[in-house]
Amino acid sequence: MQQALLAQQRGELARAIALYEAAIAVDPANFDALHMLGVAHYQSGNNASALTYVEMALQLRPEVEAAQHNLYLIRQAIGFLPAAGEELCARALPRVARMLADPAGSLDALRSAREMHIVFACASSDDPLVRSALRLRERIGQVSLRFWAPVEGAFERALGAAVERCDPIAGALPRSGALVCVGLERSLVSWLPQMKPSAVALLAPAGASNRLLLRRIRELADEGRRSLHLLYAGSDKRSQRIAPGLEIA
Amino acid sequence: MSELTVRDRDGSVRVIAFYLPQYHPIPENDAWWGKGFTEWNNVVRARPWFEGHWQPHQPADLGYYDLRAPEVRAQQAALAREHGIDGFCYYWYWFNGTRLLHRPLDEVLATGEPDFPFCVCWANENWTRRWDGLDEEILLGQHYAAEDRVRFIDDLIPVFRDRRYIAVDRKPLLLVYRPFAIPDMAAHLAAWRERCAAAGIASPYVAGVKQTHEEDPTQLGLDAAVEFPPIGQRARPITNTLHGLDAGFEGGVIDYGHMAADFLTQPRRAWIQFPAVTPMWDNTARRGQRAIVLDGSQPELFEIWLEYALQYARSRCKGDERLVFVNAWNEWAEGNHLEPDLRYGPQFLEAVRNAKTRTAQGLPVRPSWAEMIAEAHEVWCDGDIRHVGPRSTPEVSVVMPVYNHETFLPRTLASIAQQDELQIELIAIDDGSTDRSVQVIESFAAKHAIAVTIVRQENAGAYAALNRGLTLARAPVIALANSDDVYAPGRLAALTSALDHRDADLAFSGTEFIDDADVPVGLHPYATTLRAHIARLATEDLLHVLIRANVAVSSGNLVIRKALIERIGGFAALSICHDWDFLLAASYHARIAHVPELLYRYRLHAANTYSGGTLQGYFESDILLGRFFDAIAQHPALADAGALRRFVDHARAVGLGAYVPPPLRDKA
Repeated sequence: MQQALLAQQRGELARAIALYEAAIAVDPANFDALHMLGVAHYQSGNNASALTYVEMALQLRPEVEAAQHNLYLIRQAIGFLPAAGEELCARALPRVARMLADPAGSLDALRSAREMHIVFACASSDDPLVRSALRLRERIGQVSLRFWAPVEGAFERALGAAVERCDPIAGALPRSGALVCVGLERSLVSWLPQMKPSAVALLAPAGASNRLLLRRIRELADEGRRSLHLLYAGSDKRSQRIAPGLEIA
Repeated sequence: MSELTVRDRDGSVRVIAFYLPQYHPIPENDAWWGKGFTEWNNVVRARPWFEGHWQPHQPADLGYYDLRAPEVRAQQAALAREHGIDGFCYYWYWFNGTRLLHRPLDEVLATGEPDFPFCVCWANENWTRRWDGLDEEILLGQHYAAEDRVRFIDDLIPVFRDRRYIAVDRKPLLLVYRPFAIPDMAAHLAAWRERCAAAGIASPYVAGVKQTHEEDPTQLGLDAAVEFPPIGQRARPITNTLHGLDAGFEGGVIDYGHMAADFLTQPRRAWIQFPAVTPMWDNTARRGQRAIVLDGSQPELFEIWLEYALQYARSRCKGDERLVFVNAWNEWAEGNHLEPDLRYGPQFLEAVRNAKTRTAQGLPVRPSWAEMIAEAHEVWCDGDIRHVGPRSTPEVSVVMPVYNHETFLPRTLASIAQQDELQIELIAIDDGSTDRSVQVIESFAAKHAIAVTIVRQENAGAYAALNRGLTLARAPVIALANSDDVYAPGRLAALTSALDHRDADLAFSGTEFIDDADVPVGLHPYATTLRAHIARLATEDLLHVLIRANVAVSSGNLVIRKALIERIGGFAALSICHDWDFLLAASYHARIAHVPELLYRYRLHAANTYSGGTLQGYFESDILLGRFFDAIAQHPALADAGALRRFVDHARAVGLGAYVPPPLRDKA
């Protein structure tokens, strides 16, 4: 153990790991070896193994605060809480998805508006969502269309069309018609209450985060949007199971 | 004392909401903060600090109320009762004999209205200018002088006598907000007991509010601990991921779901602990740019968190100790309230009622054989079940739930067909597959001289498919199979022989972990951990190993005498751990044979790189271990005192001491 600790202090992590493993082979209930093996794996960036060994150590001595703290660091690094949070959101999504209209009627609901506004709430114009928005435009057909972005961005080049900037303070906002929100990253609630859209659709990326899906659907529902639609940019079996939407492929 | 004491012996869980008796002016606040000050002054001035930040919170149904009005208190109680809240926990501001914010409770006591259960929590923090209990500028401090112990309880004794006062174990429930701030808690408890005895009432059941996950107030002699989310949470802030964050913001933003998950994945504690949930939290109203904000709270997420909390309380506590707290009923300046607001209306309250309704049936239990047969009859019509091939009596029935595994089924089926030392039948229950799984099985049935029964049903989960499939088995021995795993050659012959030669009712083999391409998996963390547990079977008792992990790995590794199923029933409605639960339960009734050869090939899919540690997995393993440990004093394998003592010592050593029933903890 002494040699292993020395090796670990010197940064010789591979050697330290081998020495801890040897110590565990002799005594599988060696708390210190299991704990420090976990820490050495954590230092090597191997978080999955780090989690395994620190959890095994804590099974032996659950009261050791240093090990609890290390477990906390590893769980953070491995993204455990975000993963568990996503699981929680996945369980909540079907309950929220009841607020959505039947995807079979989504295109007709958007077509029936005199004017359609596509608002980019995604990170950049490189996003595959932008291509999906263009395909949506093709599928909708003959409706007057305006593009908006809540931030500065090079959307014009990607779209080959003018993009207006939403600026609620200056009063630059879509006012009526149908609204398609492209992406889930940005909240629209700071200005959406000022617009009276006839239908609102969220265009979500394939593999969307449950957390963002849940949040955006709820926000729009809270605004009292009744004709609320979910579209997916591409095929997404997992999301379709928990929140059905129309695929724009 | 309270009628609740009796009513709640039926296993239901009481939900108690923390209640802030503010919202009326008092001379002290007039002096400290300005004439007429109430919490509403803070609430209305809050504003958002980032895109999507929900502020200010504006009250709906009850308006900006004044708690001096009895009709407001009546409305609150009516709303709470209607939505499944069983009581309020009023903060009791008591500073060395001086009480603050006492008028609402005093009037509740004096008038007998509203007729709604309550208890109190001694808010024993210093009263400061900071609102969050940190001692920056103390306006009114706690001294904990010896004579105050007596004065404190003397002031409470008349309150405890109220017929509405909430009791646990026939004792009035008293919460202490910061028990660790009290320098001599034992002396306080002794004084309280003495005064209560002298007054002829039961001494209080004292629960301490936790400031961190690990804090154990029962060390101080208290009866229980109470969680108090979000206090103590350890999720990483998401502040730097927010859009439109005001440059002046110096606070922290935490994701609501991360925080809930942090509370839900805490290990079972050896002390009695009441779970708590919070609908939301955002103290922008008090702290402005230095606020702590839980972002992304929604009624549906709250509802699911509360469902878990209710089930945890049911599983971990007994009798009327089954309590769940909600922080809070009306902490409007902490953006933390069940009371309706303009954005969500009564949806958080409705979430409480929904969660209680959904969990009213209690924890999932294993169905008896009779229940399994009745359920299968109810779900399946004759037309759903098709038999193909010979109908001679088989020696082994292979029962296989199938769900969307068309890619792996040919390999699975071939490995079953290969078990030709025995006469077998295959019972495949298609659990609502949307791929070509059923066609793959049909074409297999057409080509092989094996009796195949195919049943189709809507997706109901593996446990339901297993239970129903078991009722169709005709052979005296049943082998379970997963539709993506592989039987090694000679598996069924070896395991049925183990049943016979070792006089066992249940057998399982060693497991080889394989990937999607059938290649053995090396250093996968899940496989590594399980292999380490399985290796212990060579030297340790099966039960010692089985409480740490499901060393059979999956239901597909189980070979069971049908008579055992008929005797003890099938699988509980647990989506992840039904197999582990079954094994632990079976250990009470069956001799279990382990065959170390790697005769079971369990597939780890590319997608699940880290399959341990899901919320549902935490929850299920906690309830099944709780259930297993509850009766260990009656376990046949632990019948002699030495074996039981060794088992309890072992459970403690591996961190499962919290599951050992209290009477055994001291003896062993």
